[in-house]
Amino acid sequence: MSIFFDSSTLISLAVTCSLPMLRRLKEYYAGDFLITTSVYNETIQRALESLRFRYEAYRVLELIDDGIIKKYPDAPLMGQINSLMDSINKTYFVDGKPLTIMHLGETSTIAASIKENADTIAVDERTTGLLIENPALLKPWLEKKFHATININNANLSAWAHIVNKFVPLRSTEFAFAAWQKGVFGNNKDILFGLLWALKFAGCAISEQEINNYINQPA
Amino acid sequence: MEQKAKKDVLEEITEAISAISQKRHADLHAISDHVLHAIIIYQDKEIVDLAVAIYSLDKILETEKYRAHKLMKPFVKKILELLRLAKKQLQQNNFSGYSMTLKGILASINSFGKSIRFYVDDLLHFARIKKGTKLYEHGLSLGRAAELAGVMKWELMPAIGETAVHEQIPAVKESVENKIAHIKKIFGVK
Repeated sequence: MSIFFDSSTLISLAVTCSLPMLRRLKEYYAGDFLITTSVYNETIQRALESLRFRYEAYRVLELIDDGIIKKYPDAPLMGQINSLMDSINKTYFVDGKPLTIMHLGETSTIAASIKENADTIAVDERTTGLLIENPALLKPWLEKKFHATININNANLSAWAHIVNKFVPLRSTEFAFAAWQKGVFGNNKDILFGLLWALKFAGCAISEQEINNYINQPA
Repeated sequence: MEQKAKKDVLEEITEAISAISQKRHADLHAISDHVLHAIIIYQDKEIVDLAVAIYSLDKILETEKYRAHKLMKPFVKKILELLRLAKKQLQQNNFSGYSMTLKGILASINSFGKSIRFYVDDLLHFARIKKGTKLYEHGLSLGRAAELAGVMKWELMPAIGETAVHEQIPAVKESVENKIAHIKKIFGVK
């Protein structure tokens, strides 16, 4: 049992000071919260070298030191990661050129989740979430933005969808909702409302309508 | 640089020269956005630098309080000279010369911003974050957008959160219901 966290979710939680929520949620989950070494290097290591986000990086590091989040070595998976990245980066074409849309950290999270048969992938950024949930929806989005026809390599798209469609990607907002349901924030629903908006402003890919859906859920 | 990319970049430089010469400064923002398509298609960091330079010039030239600054006229003159030189070098396939000139444009913007104490401390970095936000808006993943723009994911996420881009995400049918059911199952929520 495991949940793999992408950088985007860790960042949303860190900049909203919500990382302690993971500590509480871990009490209700027997599996592991994991991050790949690529995510660690891109997110924590890089932030530790900066002035602006060093403190936030130490907050994440504290969870790693306490064993709440564990590092997952992804070097042995580099072949699968590169193959997966190569496949999705040669799926959407504009003007006959492939659109390189995915990056190492995000792809390593997906590859590791597949390898470990993870319960879910925690990802706050839109493109990776969409590529897991319904990669076909990216085409109309790209066409709208490029004002051009996007051609698809259907073989690559089908292979990708077949690999990732068993996952329901979750965002920091879903973790916040679970924490609220578990009583982490007490009974005041306005705290959940405030937190969902804070996470949205921190970059989590959630719409206002979705936030309202969460707020209208029974306690 | 690929021929098609070169053609696109030359068009944008020509447009930028024309906008600055004719004081159509507001057009620079749109020109900088046009460059985005070339960035995403060709994934060339020098095209990112050009977009960053044009966006920064828009910010400087569109801010009214700096227009009358005594350093503004020589700055605009120098920028126009450098843009014309960059155009010529690109037309002649002098790519190393073009790279040097582009670096010179960025350095000039940087030093001018500091000399007039521009209201944004690091204008070029600010522009990179803005361009990164646009790259994400155009469909690149966060990691890819951050890498191309030359900024950290940590910087890009809150900047994206300030935009309306996540209000326009294509709706995945029954997405929220699926997510709620799944998170409840994972954490044993009744």
